[in-house]
Amino acid sequence: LWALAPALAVAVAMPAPAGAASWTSYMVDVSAHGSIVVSWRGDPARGCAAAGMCDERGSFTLRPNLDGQMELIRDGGRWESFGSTSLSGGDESVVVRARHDEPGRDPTLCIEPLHAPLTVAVAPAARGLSRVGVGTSFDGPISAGRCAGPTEGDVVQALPTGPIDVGRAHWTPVALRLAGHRTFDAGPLAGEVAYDVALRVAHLRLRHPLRDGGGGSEPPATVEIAYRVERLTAQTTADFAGLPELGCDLLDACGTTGIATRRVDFAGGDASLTADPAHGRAPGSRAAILRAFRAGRMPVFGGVSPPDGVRGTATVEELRAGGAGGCRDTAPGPAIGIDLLPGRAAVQLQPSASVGRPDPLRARCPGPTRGDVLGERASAAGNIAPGDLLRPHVTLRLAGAGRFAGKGYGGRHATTIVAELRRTRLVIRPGR
Amino acid sequence: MTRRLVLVAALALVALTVPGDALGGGAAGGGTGLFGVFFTDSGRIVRQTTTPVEVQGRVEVEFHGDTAAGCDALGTCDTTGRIAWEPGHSASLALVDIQLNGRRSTQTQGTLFFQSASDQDSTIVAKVLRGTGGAPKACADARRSSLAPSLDPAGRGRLRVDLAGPGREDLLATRCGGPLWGDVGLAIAPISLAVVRRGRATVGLAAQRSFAGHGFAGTVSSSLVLRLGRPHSATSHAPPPDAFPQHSVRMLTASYRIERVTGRVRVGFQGESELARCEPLDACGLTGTVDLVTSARSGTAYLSAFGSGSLPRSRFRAALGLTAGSARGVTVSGGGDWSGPGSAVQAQTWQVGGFCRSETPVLSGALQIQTAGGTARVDFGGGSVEPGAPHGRCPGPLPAEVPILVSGSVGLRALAGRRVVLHLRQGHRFSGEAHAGSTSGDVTIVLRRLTLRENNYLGL
Repeated sequence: LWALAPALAVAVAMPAPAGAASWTSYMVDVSAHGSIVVSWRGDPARGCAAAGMCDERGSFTLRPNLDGQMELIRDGGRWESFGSTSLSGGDESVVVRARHDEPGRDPTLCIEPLHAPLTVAVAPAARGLSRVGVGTSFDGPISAGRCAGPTEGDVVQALPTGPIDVGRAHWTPVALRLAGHRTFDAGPLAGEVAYDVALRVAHLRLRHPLRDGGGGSEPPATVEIAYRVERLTAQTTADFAGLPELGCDLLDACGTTGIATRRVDFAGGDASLTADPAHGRAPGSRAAILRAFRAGRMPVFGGVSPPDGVRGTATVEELRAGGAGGCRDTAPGPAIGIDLLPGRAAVQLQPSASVGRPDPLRARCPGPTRGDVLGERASAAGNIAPGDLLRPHVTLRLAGAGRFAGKGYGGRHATTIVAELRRTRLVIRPGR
Repeated sequence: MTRRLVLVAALALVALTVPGDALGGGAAGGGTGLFGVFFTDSGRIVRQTTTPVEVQGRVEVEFHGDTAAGCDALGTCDTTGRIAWEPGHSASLALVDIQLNGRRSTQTQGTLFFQSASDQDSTIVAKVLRGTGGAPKACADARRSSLAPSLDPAGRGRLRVDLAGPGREDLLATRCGGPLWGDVGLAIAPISLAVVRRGRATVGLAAQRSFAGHGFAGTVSSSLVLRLGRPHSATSHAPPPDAFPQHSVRMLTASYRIERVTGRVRVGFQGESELARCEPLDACGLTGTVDLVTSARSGTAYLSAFGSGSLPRSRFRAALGLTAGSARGVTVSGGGDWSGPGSAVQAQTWQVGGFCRSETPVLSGALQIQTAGGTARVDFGGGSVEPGAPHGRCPGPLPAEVPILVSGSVGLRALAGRRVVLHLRQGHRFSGEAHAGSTSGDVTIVLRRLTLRENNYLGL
């Protein structure tokens, strides 16, 4: 359920294609109260020795205390929660506590308070039923943060969910108690989620029908180009060190050095762009349109998207002072795309927001987050002359580098992204 | 304490007016704006200045059990730990000039408000080890802090920075135990008011000292540095009457004097049995109590009814229990606080060995009053600073995890009497991050009704 949540959010935010079946929007009262305890430890059976993580263990506790309303979309017989969930009262403070024990030495502790807003989500399940569960909202992760421990992708698979007949909530409150425990795989770590959550869904009522209006007026596109992605490779590296002036001691990171590497490599997927005449004045002939396009007088918007299911990887290698007790782990990460945006003389290129939730620079070893390394900045940038986008084969190159100083960690980062595109369609439409 | 709360509330509103681009350079003089007219008990706020601040550094305490400090009796001899306050990187410094009642002179006070950002909140983090030899028990805790240090007049054009003085949350309180802020006694050298007013300067709040007492010895240090941006001044000026749509709001308030608060409360707790919950906080096999004794004889309380000014007065009086009848459309809230002698004794043991004992004065307390269906429910949340169980030097639940100690109910009409006696005997269960338990007790609060005051406002 939670692994699908980001995709679900994107899907419901998009307008339905023309002629698609209508969606109906409902509101429902929701409450969720209880506790969810997530714990982990190095597991020899999962190869913790090779990863250097047999001495690691930790936990955090989520305490849902939510009351509010949630919007649900009914699409045929399927119920899905919509993005405008409004729940209040949850304790958004989560404290990750990870412990590193070495024989003959005092334990060392990594403590990280995280902001993890919780919410409730509904997703379709088999035989017309739905599943409901408690998890994090899109604003915050459920993971071990910068400490040694599971990634968000590891934890979401074990968060409590249960079947629910949403339609019944129209007539009577539906109460559900989710209690038990589940294990989860987290690379060299064995994880467990113990939970006891009381859920209540009531007062299902029609909000308003969502009908697609058929797309409205067609944008006055004058140049449209489609491409096939022959290959996209991306790599971000962050050389990091735990620094006292950044508070490394609280993260048990002082004296550690390491490198976090994000890799994405895929073939397939699509790219497209649309160029409209600036200020609404369209050149008349095809030749004039092409001249305007090449001269950069037609703002270009477009993007390169990975195929469904493509993931990247995040690898973190961490060394403790003196080279002892190192850690190495690789975890799935989000894929990457490229946005094409209008620039002054050239088309600007920048990485698109990560597709999917996991932090692209975090695996299960301790290390900095993407926010530490890049902040709100894009990892790389590039540009291309508009005329080059008309070629049968197009190469997009992006690069970026710099220093960073985040929570506990500082260092350097560098990113390169190269996308090889093959043009599959070129449409030049005279302006209206 | 009430006066301070009023001032902090006013300062918080000032802090909210900081323009986002005010940090860094810019034209001299800063911008100006409007604010409503605020009063404190001591005078009228005539000028407000807000300065954005970049913050670096932290406050740290390193401690260990110390024989000379009495650790043998308190069970802390094998304890070592560190507690750090990381206030985040962004803050607003609000200064107000108050024209003192009956005088022409003004006095400047300030508050530093740390701004919340998901990854940069003001945070208290503790790491404590208990036991020596092969397998010490470790406790790791963190909590967000809403602490807002104050800047008070220190004479000769200087301001005294009080990071966490009396009347505010204990900077060092975590579930892991350790010294309290009052034990470590860190004093920061006063800073220049002129520099703070001018802004665009760096102000160091560095300080360090050793401490010993109450079972612990150690060092406390501050490496805090404030980089002040461009000040933003506001003049005292009421907004034009048509600035916002307004309607009449009536508030009827019954005020009471608290004649006495006497009684005892016991908070009994144990560590959660689930290993993943108790072990990270060294709470496995832990049982403990906090015994609070109070004998306060000075305080105030109130009960307010508010609603639309178009509603009949009788409904407001009925809402306060002064007359029978409907109170439809009227909202009631009440509360109170007191000061006076009290103490809290924390005592606990671990199954596998080890104990801890702590005694702390509890100099104030608070109550909340809610009404429903002709009954007033009174909750006693009697921490010395924050509502909730008093916090000592031993590991245990945070005050916020035991928000209400004991409660009692009384017929609403009883509050109409000149003298009201409240008996609070209903305990509560609680379950926190690693500790669970229950409260019990018997507290008597005696109120004397003083005045009944009606105010009419133009509300938004």
